[in-house]
Amino acid sequence: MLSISHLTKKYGETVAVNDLTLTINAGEIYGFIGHNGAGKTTTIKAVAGILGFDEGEITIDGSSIKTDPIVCKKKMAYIPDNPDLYDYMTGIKYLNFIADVFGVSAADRQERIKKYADVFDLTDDLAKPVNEYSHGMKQKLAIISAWIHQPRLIIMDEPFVGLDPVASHNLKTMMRELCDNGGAIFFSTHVLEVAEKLCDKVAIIKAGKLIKSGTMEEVKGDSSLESVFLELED
Amino acid sequence: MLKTLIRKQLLEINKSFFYDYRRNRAKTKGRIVTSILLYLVLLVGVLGGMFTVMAGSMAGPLSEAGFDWLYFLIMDGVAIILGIFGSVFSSYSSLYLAKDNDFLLSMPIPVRHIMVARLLGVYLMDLMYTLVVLIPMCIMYWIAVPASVASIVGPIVLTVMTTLFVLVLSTGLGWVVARISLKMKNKSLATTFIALAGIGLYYFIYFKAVNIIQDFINNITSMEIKIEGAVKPLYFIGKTGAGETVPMLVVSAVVIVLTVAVYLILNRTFIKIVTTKTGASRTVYKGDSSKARSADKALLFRELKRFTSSSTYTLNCGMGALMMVLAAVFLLIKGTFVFGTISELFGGGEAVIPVVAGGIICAMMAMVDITAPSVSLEGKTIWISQSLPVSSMQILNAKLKTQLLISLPPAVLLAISEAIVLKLGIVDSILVVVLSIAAAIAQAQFGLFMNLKNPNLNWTSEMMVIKQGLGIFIALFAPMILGVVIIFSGIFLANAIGGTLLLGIWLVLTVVLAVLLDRWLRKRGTVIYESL
Repeated sequence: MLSISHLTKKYGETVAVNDLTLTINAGEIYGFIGHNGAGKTTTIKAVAGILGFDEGEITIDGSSIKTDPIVCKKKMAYIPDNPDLYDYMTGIKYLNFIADVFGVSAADRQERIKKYADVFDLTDDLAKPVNEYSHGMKQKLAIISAWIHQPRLIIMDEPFVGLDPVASHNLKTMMRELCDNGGAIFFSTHVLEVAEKLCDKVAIIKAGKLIKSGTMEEVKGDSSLESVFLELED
Repeated sequence: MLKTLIRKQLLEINKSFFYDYRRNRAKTKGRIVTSILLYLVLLVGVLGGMFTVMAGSMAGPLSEAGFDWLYFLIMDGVAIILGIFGSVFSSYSSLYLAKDNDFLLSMPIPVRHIMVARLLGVYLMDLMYTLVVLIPMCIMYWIAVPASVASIVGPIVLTVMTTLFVLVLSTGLGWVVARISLKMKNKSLATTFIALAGIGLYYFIYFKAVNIIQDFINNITSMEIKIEGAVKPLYFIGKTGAGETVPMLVVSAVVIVLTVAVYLILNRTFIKIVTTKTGASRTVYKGDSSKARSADKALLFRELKRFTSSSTYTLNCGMGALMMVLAAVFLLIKGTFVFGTISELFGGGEAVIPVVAGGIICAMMAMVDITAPSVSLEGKTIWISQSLPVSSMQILNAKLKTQLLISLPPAVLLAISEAIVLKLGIVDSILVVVLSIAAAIAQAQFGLFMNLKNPNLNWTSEMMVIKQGLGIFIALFAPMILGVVIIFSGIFLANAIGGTLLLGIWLVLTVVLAVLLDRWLRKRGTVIYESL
């Protein structure tokens, strides 16, 4: 579903991502781990189509993010590490805006908003302006907006930051459901326990280079993901 | 500590002018020199030149007649008007809505230091606008009169006091707006109305003063004593500039007391205003029956919502639309008077009138610059637009349409009013109306062009991108100056080549500009937007 091939991104002389190649198939939850500044967010932004890159190719179901960005974006959703949303809208207006742009029918959006807002206990707050939301509430709203148009691929940067334990649990359930229904998820995290339990595959990036990737069993073997990660980082 | 805060404040201002946010580095020396030259041309050259001519034409005759005070009063009034225009709508935002308020308050920094640093930002904006009038006022006076201690000290004291007075007015109004909006649910709407009421009151007083001055000029031999008695403050302001000791002391004392009082009030109430979260919505969501809209309509709705959600944005960038409506209504009500005055002004030269009419619309249109900060205002939320399945041109079009929705109806209304009141012929009427439409489109495109060339997504206060920075400055003043050029072309060329032809030439040039800007936005503009 998602193919990243020889991705290279430079900021001036600094190589942020260096010849990175990954494939994420339908049905997979793919974790992306690495220390701060390793190149995770740069890779994720490039996949989401909001950051250009110097070399390589990124395709979603065969469509290139460079040449067919709109086709690609219709199939995916992106949640950044810091959910800066439109403070001047209410939660419901923001969701309707996203639904409008993605062409979600009125009936479908109402059903999905009710479903996901109930899951995250956000229903009562949807009429409030986003500037009154806490960080966690904004994160929940960003998640609902990602799920509202039923994307096939969801790209997330640190999605669990700011979420309460119940919301974290519910998000994991939703992620699994989406992948069980033929979707795919590519997300970064620093919480290695979550990655270990949730992900089908994992990739470790260091200084812009992919240093290990594969199924969870292939990457960690008999050890824990944490010990493998620390070992590779050393 | 204070030095650090002031340095931070100055750094932000400096960056908004001389930093290339698109490439995330300081502008090259060449671009900095170009920027400074553009400032010099626009601010010092054109605006300063205009006020130098104005001051030069009055300083000699009025001082020779012994009415130095009237010269200073007139110039000071113009400076205050320009200063108010420059800083009053942004003081509330700069004082209270900075994004780093919480961060600064959480640090061991005395509130008075934060307040002084914030006030400095407002004062610099105030200086930028008032000095354009006050410096020519001083220089032309010094050229016109023999040098003496009074003639040198007086204008300097008046200049300093005027800049402080503008600071008092703008920050005082900002404080009133902040206090009232604490209790209001719809803060933006409340702020907009309060600020408009405040500015309306100021202009009411100003025009009353202008009437008194007009009366004085009409009855110049008998009215000085009357003015002295009835409107002593005005007289004292004028006499301060002329260097008379008592008025200088009185005016200085009053302004300094007002400045200190406003500072103390702002200082004491700052934490309460910044940290009080009243007016929070208690509305509970009870389902939604919104109909689905197209992506283009959704993007337009988003831009309109952004425009109306911030009083700083609405007031600073939409003011021209209100002024065009007021001008159109004024024309329709006072049509006979206006027609009489204009006919008298351009007596025997009816060809001038349609060109002047077109130039006035273009100049007023410059005050609608909604697109000019619209990209920068997306700030850290720009990821949303960029990750949506829409083209960059759709997003830019929504920004253009928003401005046109606000600017086009008043512009056409003003054009029709002009056509009726000034009794323009059919061809001239059509040309004026079409020029108003073309100018509205070109102005919207030009604002967007300037913002894409000078984007800033890392602002701490939205005032930084709405009021400060090279892009916004040029987007505001360049079209205004073009409007003035059109007016002067009418005065000097219309009788020679014909008003209709001249108006037609300006229309063609405006359309060509609009076409060029459209091509640039589609080719380069979209690429820049995607790279932000």
